[in-house]
Amino acid sequence: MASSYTVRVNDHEFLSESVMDEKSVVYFRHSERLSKKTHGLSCALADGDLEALAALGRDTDGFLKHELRGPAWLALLKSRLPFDTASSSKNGGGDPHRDEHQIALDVKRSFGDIKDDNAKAFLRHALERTIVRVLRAFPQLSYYQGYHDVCAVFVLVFAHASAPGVGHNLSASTSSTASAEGMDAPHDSDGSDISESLSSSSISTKLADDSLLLVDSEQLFEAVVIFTLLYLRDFMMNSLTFTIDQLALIPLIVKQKDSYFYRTFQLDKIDPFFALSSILTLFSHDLRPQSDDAPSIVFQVFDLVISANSMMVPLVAYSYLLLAKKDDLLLRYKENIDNFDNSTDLIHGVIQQEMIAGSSVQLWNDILDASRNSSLELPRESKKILNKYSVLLTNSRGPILLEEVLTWLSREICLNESVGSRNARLDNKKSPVPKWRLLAQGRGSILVKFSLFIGVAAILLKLYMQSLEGHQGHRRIELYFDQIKSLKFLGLTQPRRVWLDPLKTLLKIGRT
Amino acid sequence: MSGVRTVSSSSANAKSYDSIMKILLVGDSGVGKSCLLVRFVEDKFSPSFITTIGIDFKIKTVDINGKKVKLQLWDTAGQERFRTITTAYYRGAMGIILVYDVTDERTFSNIKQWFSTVNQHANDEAQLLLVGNKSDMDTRAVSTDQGEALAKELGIPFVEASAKDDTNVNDIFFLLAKLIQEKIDSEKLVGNTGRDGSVNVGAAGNNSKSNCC
Ligand SMILES: Nc1nc2c(ncn2[C@@H]2O[C@H](COP(=O)(O)OP(=O)(O)OP(=O)(O)O)[C@@H](O)[C@H]2O)c(=O)[nH]1
Ligand SMILES: [Mg+2]
Repeated sequence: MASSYTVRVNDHEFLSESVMDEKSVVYFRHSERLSKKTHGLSCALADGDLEALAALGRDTDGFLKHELRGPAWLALLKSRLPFDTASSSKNGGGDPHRDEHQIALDVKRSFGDIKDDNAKAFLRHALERTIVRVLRAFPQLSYYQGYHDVCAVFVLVFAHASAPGVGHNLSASTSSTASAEGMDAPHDSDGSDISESLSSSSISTKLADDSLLLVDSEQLFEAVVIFTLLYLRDFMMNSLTFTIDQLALIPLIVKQKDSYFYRTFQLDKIDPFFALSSILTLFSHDLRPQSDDAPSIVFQVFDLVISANSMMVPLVAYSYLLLAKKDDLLLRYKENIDNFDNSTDLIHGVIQQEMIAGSSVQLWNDILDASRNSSLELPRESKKILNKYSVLLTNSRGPILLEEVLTWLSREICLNESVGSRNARLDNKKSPVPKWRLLAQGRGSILVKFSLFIGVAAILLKLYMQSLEGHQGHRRIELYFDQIKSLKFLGLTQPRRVWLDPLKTLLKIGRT
Repeated sequence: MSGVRTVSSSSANAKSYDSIMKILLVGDSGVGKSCLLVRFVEDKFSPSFITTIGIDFKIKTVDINGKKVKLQLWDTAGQERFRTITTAYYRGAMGIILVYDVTDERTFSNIKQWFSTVNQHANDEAQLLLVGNKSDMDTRAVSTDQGEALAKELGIPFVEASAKDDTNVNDIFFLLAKLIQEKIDSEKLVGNTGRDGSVNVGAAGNNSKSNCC
């Protein structure tokens, strides 16, 4: 392809006609589809056709670009939860929130990959204002580390850069100098100048190349408030209990699709804490959103949540990602089985090395497509796991009133307080003697042998009981011999699963 | 078997190291746990640091007394609400680094809280280490003497460091790894004594810690 030259059209590169090949044809189809979709989105927005808008957002590429994305998100969100900004900032919204110190710490560590210093300071400023404003308006919400990542996605969507020289009507907006001093203003004051600046409708800053960066802070605030109240309530309790409940659905989704992987990868035994940052931030922490308008994965995750009106999206996407990577994960799992102290560490380490970092854009697009086509139904067991005010159980089709959401929120907070800091299935007790010490003392093998003994005893007992009941004993026997054989092949990687299962069924021991 | 989790020859990525040590970093949000780790593992201090959510995991192999030791480094989130989750990872930790920020008094006074959380959830044998980070800053609020006094009170070694200008960062991890190795070696000699048998290793400042809290 060295001889070919490229032509830039609409900021896309493609091969010129002289080397017109399949690639170009694909490109033309793609660009044709994009321009059709752009048109469709613009029409749906203009007509206020929310159903069409949601359908397009759920479709491949989501809302395409921030120009369309911002208005589309806002239109859909407002249709779900009509929210009057003016009244909300008046009632309450004055006193500093208890978590503002933490917010400041996290804002300082946001937008680190943005090159232009002015732009960075400006975006941080917009981010901090927005988070603080939401939490002051709804002080019953607790801030969590990661909420800032979610809000940063919104800041990027609602920020516009305009070319130098383009006339902008700034008369109605406050031009906030987002220099270093501007940044510091919000938190070293007692809060009085914040409320002042909070009332302006748009803020802007000049970048190094003379272009203007602006954010409509009213729209940004509205979108973030509605999104928070509709989708993030479970995360904003004063403990992680309901977040942990949500995480518990991931193994269930995986189990429905592939029960072998589910068990082999120990998902029946450990808490899926490894998914915490992905779920709390809808992947925005692990996949840093790109600041340009590129069709980035993170924005499309948000597109899907908003158009499908479901927080099942991140859970389903995460589960599909696990399934898509299962071969690599199992391989790493086996390779590393001796390198970790326990299964929780092992699975976490393997996932961190393999999953997020090692996933290509192509894979992510496949995951997104699979999630788009998914019914997003809750696993059957969900109702037993989730609290009844969870965002996964309360989202209805029609619009919800603010009072309704706030009632759910306060009930959920009450429930959260009553369960205290119950840990899912945490085995937090210190093991009397650490495994490494056992190993060092050569006692580990005794344990293994003992569990093998119990396993064999359990199988024999079960077989014996079955033969007493006159069930098809022979087939069962073969089955268990298969298990024993497979154990041999798998080495000592699986003894717990294979041996404990018959034991569990026999003794009716559930997961505790 | 020499030491901890001696690497078995069947393991696919074996041979590149002789043993593995699990090390954990804890402390308030913003004290610089992740920065210390990044400085140690990647030798950089970049402006694009990000908040830790839950648990992060990094690996670095170092040379201790001619042995290749693979350090398994677990970085935890500082915000209180993550404690239920992070404590699930204390299990099996052989070394735990308690970090505070020398420019932030509050992070220093919270060390006692962290110490008790660690005592609740970690193995009694785990080697602890107190680190005062950001020693490069001139807005210091906690003196070196205060840090030393606290370390003495808790019976653990103490290092002041700066992830930013790379002061004592390697020392933190090497000191800890050595103390752990010594502990393992001496415990092998001690043999099968119960876990409450306090093992006093000759390392500087390394008094056996009590089981209370
Ligand atoms: N001057 C100075 N600043 C530091 C140093 N180490 C960290 N910092 C700053 O402190 C901030 C917080 O550091 P992190 O490493 O992210 O803090 P952390 O302890 O990991 O915080 P959490 O992840 O929230 O628990 C960073 O953004 C750095 O700018 C240091 O040695 N000197
Ligand atoms: Mg950190």
